Parts: sequence; structure tokens; C-alpha cells
Amino acid sequence: MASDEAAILHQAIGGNPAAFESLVRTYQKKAYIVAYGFVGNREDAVDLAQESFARAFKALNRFDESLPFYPWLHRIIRNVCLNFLRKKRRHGEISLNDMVDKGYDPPDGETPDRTAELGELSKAISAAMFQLPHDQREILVLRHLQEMSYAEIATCLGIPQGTVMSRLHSARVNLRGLLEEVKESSLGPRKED
Amino acid sequence: MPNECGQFQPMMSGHLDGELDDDSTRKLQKHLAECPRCSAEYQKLARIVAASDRLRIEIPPDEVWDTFLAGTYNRIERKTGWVAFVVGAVALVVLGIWLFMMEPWASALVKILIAVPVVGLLIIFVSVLRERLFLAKIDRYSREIQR
Repeated sequence: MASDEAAILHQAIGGNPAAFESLVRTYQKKAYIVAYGFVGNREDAVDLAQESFARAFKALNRFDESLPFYPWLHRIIRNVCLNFLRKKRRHGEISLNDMVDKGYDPPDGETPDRTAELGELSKAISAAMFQLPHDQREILVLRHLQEMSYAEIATCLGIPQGTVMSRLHSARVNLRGLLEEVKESSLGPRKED
Repeated sequence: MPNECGQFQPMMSGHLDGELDDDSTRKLQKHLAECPRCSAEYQKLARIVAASDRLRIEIPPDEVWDTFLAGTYNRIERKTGWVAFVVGAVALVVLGIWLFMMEPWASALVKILIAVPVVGLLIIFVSVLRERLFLAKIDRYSREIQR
């Protein structure tokens, strides 16, 4: 943990509101992205990110300063989101937006055809992701939306790096299965590959 | 799928993510060169990974973040208010029951009818408290983690 953050955390635990505000500002977008990965729409994701910080504030005096802050916060977000989903499922009220950024900038050298095709595939993946088990969806969000390394994901989830790799792989295999159900041909090997 | 192929499956993801060490990378590449089935599998997976890398979430505009902290504090205040209300209400109810039980004019039957649900609530409270204490012992983050 960076020494700056350790100092801010120490002050926040001591009841300094400015330090807590600094933590919120640092992690609010990260919290939003994780929540979005669970619930799939902006309004609920913002609400759940706020709720997570409110719970973190209440639990801050129990936080062990020798441990990194973000994994702790991540677990609170996950808990809040899963509770929310459980209640919503009961009432059948889940609404999803897709996760494809129309302004995505493709890498140099990529053909327009491939860009278009991968764009379509991304759209299908964003919809299929919400049919995956929570733990697989969560790890895809951490890898592809938070752009975390395996080591960072392992710390965040409290699992070995080997488990990160196998869980990610299972998630992708399941994704592929779901996509094949929808459109078999879209995943066939391409000639230029 | 042959047993030998199974061990290379998760390694494909590791390789596509650039997280595989040199030795494992060599073994995987050798296997992919020899196994057309795994090679085709790898190509499909590569496209899933490439498409997943394009996933983006629309980040809300600045005005949402300008009010984010205020919204968080509102929630904290509301929680504090509820806790104060519930604690006060429970204390009032307990006091009321206690005073009623001490009244000489109330019949024993009425006192028993009131005492039974109160004892039931007490048992539930102790049970929940015990469960929370047990969870707190086995994991420092137990109140935050969804099991």
C-alpha cells in the first residue's frame, strides 16, 4: 500500500472526514465499475457504490491497517451487490445495459472488418456475461474492465494466482458456450487468423 | 478431450493475458503446434479475449460524481438515524413491558401472554448475536464478505 494512502487511511479510521472523503474520491469510479459489473445498469451501480462506501465508513474502525484497503472495499461492494441482486431477483426487476463503448479506439493495424466483428462480439459478450455465475462475472470485470493483473486480482479476491487463471478460463469457456448457443457461426475460425 | 490437453486449457487464458511464465509458454506453444484441436480452441479463445478487452462501461458524467459524496453522507446519516430510532424504540418497549409487569392490578394470564412473545424475541436476538460473533471469529471480514 502506498504510504500516502496508508496515512489517509489512518486519518480516516481516526474519524477525519476529509480523509474519508479523499478515499471516496479515489475509489468511487472503481467501486462504480465493480457494481456495474454485478448489476448491469448505471443508476443501480451508482446507488450501490454509495451504499458500499456508507458501509465501509461504518466498518472502518474494524479495518486492519496492515492490509491493503481496496480488497477490503471490494468485498464490501460485492456483498452489497449480491444482497441487492438477491432481492431484485425475487421481484424480477433486473434491467441491463450493454457494456460496449461506441467510442472504442481500435489498435493500429486492425482492419475495419475485424474491428466491426469484434465490436459485435463484444456486444454479445456484454449481454452473455450476465448469465454467468457471480464469481466468473466478477473476475471478468476485474480483468477486462478494471484491467487488473493476475496478482492484483488474486490479492483482491484472496485466492491464488493459479485459481485466477483457471476461473478466468472457465468464465471464458462458459461465455463461448453461451455465445455459440446464440450464434454458432460468429465464433468460427477466421481466414486471416 | 485427451488428458494431456486438459492441463493446457487454463494455460491458454494465461498466455492470452500475458501472464504465463516462459517455461509454461514453451510447453503450451509446443502442444498447440502438435494438437490441431487445442490450436483451434486457442483461436476461438483469442477472439473472446480480444472482444472482452473492448468491453467498456459508460462512466457517468461529472455532475454524478460531484454529488456522489453527498449521497454517501446522506446514507450514513439515514443509517445513524435508523439505529438511534430502533435502539430508542426497543428501550421504550422494554421499559413499558417492565412497568406493566410490575403493576399489581394486571392479571397473571395477561402477564404470561405478554412474557411469551418477549422471551421468543429474546431467543431470536441471542441466536443472531451468537451467529454474528461466530462469524466474526472465523473471518475478520465476515460482516463484509458474502459467503
